[in-house]
Amino acid sequence: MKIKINNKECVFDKGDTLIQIADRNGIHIPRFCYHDKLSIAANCRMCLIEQAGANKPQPACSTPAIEDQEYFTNSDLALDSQKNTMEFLLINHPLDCPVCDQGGMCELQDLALMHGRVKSRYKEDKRVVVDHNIGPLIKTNMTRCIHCTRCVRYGEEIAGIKEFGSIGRGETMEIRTYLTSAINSPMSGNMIDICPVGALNASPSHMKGRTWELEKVKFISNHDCVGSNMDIHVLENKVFRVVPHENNKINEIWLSDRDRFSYEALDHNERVKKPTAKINGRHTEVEWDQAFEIIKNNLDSINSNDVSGLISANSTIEEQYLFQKWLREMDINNIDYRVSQNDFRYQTEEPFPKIDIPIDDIENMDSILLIDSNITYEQPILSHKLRKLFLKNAKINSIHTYNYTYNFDLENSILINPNFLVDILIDFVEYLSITSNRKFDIPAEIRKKFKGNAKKSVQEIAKNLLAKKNSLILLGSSLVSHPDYQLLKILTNMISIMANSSKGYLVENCNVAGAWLTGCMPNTTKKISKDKNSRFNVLEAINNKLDSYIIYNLEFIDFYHYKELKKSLDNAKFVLGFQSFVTEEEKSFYDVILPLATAFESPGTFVNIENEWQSFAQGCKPYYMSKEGWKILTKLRLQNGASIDNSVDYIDVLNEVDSVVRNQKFNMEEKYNNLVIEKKLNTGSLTRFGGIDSYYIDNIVRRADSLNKVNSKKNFISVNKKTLEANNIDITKNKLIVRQNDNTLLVELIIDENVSDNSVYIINSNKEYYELGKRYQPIKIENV
Amino acid sequence: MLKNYIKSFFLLELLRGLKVTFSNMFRKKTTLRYPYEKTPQSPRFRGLHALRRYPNGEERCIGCKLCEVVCPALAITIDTEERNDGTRRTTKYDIDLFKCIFCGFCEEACPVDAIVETRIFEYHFEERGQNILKKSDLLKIGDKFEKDIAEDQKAKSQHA
Repeated sequence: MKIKINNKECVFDKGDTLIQIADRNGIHIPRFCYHDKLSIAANCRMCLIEQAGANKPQPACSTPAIEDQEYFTNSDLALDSQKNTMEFLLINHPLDCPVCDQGGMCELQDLALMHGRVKSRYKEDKRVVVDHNIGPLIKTNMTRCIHCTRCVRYGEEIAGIKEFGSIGRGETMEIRTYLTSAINSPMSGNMIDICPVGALNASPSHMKGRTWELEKVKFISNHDCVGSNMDIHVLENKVFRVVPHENNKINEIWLSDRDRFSYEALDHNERVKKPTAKINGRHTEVEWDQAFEIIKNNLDSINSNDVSGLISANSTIEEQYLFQKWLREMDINNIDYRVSQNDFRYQTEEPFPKIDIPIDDIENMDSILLIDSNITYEQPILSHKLRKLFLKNAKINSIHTYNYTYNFDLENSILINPNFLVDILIDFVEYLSITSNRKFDIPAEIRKKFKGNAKKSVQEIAKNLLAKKNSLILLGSSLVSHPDYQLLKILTNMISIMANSSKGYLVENCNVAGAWLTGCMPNTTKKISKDKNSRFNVLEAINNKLDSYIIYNLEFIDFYHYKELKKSLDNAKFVLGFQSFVTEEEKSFYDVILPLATAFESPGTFVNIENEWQSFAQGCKPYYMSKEGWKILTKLRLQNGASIDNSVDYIDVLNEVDSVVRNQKFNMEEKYNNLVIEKKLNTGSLTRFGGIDSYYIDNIVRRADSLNKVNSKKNFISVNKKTLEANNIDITKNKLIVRQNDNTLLVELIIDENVSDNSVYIINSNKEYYELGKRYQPIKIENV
Repeated sequence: MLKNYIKSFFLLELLRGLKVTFSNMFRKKTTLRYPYEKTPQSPRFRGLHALRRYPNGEERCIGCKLCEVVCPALAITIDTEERNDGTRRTTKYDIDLFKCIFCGFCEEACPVDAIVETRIFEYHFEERGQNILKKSDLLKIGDKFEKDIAEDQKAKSQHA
């Protein structure tokens, strides 16, 4: 079908609106309320254009094209109506662009220049709106609002928040939260981007610079496993702000708040400024060369089997590759990245942390099963995809240990104590082994556990998975620390095979896949390591109290075995840290600390869960004396006599990683042996569970000021009423004592029916919880 | 041929030249005895810069950095921060007079008439570094000559 816009012939499909057709053909139509990711409101009237023969101008955003009609976007009628609309919009909008933070990137400013009058004819008083605090991330200046309602529609449609809307009519209309409260969404920052005026601005960068001073560098998100694309805007060698970079395969045009505001940590006072070494028992700042010498002397004097190298899965793949290479060249093979993992049984090799389908394919699923995944807060971008599915009437089911808040509704859900997670998955396997026509050789060990009668809710969910053609099972990222994690993965794999679904093992860190590919773990059968001996994984390395530990970009609380690690480090002869941040307490454990540039300050590559390699350039220069990881590691390798060209560049490193790792075919099939079902969790007493606060997951986010103001940092636990009564807790008091082993903590009690029976839900949001004890361990609650 | 011969014989060209000389000899002098006498200036004269204040003492500059970005010689350097009352203010406003070409773009760009170029053109530097006018210097100039500046601004607005 064809229409003519400005005498240009344009092809369209039935139902296309005029603005869509114009956009496709590069014809400019001014707009404020229209946004191609949001529903059509047609309330700004800026996009009025002329239709030949019609006596009134038509809003291009909401008018479907009629075949063989002629439209004009630049006729006198169109231009005149746009000019008049603009004049009305500017009546109540302050004309003080130089004061406003949006000045220079403001849609209203641009369009006023193109479509407005030169001078204002309005002499009367303007409207003033009182600002309400809607949280620490978004700074409001509602006098500037032009009521396009993009933010309201974003909240309702994309983020799933219903507390934000418009109140009043006409002159008194206001956009605000209905109650005076903060916006509670892990994706709230996108409102700043879609606001066409300066009404919603980013709080952390508020009034700190002007838009035209910024340099743009493309970057990849480093706080979840999705790998959102973003642009970092750099002002005077500091990250000024972060905005999303459009990538329709991954994050579309959205970004989670965590990715957007984490940059604030970069000049935190706990940054390591200079190489530090313990000389005569005291930490002294040393020169780089001196630090390298100390490292060489110490590592040379220690048996290579008594050294363990532990690297963060948040480091770039280049760093991970060079790290394991540096260590393996010294014959140190106790390397691991799985520091938050607790279960290393069964598998000869860790399965590749991967989602079977591309991320943008999630939108095409009909049925989803979430296994204990707090996905809305842990992987907001994936949650957004699920929300899209939910709006398309796909069925989303969940088995969880806590009734997490999702931005979509669940079809069926099973609330279960974390101890019984394995049992319920076995129920699934059992039910599917009967009903599914895809047979699977179920190991006898699992067969033994079959009970013969699956719960009705299990049947419902399983039926749902079977009935739909495209289904997906997602294993939550907080389960990484579950004592039966490997078993959960095996069962998930079985279910996915029998139900003919895709599966995904969600993980907490941004480059777990990279760490896996580069072989940053013991007993890897990949070509990278020729080592055949059995080596220590992180758990064994900690328990065996080795002589030396090398810790790369990890804080102690990143380790599941936090306390054991501290003890082992205390006994060790030589502890080397490559750290961007170090607390005073942790500093005392290290013999040498090398200041490491964060990912923002270094070029690199992250591999996300769909095995997509995404490289980024250096955003800004490293902080103070710190250096990029690949430089430090290359220097260390050179010191050991590795045959590297002295003029090695980042690109050389990337090429090497590319040729050694990327082009290698890996066997991604999952194998397991010696399957013995011995559940590690005890069922007798209360169990502590709960993931890490989404703004506490890694060393950068932990230090981002504004993000940490979002959630209350008070110590609290959630327990349901039945459990409280069973443990004789006085409900009238809102304080109680929790005890793990010999450690106690006074906490606030929240009676919460979203918690399963016999468990205590703790969101790990500060260090005291780690001092108390581990997740998925017995816990006691006592009256004060 | 003959014409030229007559012209040169009677020194006509010379006399014509001398006519200019003599007529100028009796014309009113334009030379000024500079330090004692000065040329008249336009209100739009572009001399030394100044930062102005409002009558209530509040500085006009809102730190929008438009002058910084418009300056073709990159002579202006500004740092800003949010003041307690929520307005953006400069913490640093430097003009390097060695770089400045006195084009007046900064004045033109300023939305609040804070940075202006005064009629002052007689100044000197004795030490390295004095060529950079700091915010306090600029405000001092503005305070001192506010009356004149205000008059000039008014005159300038007639031309807009």
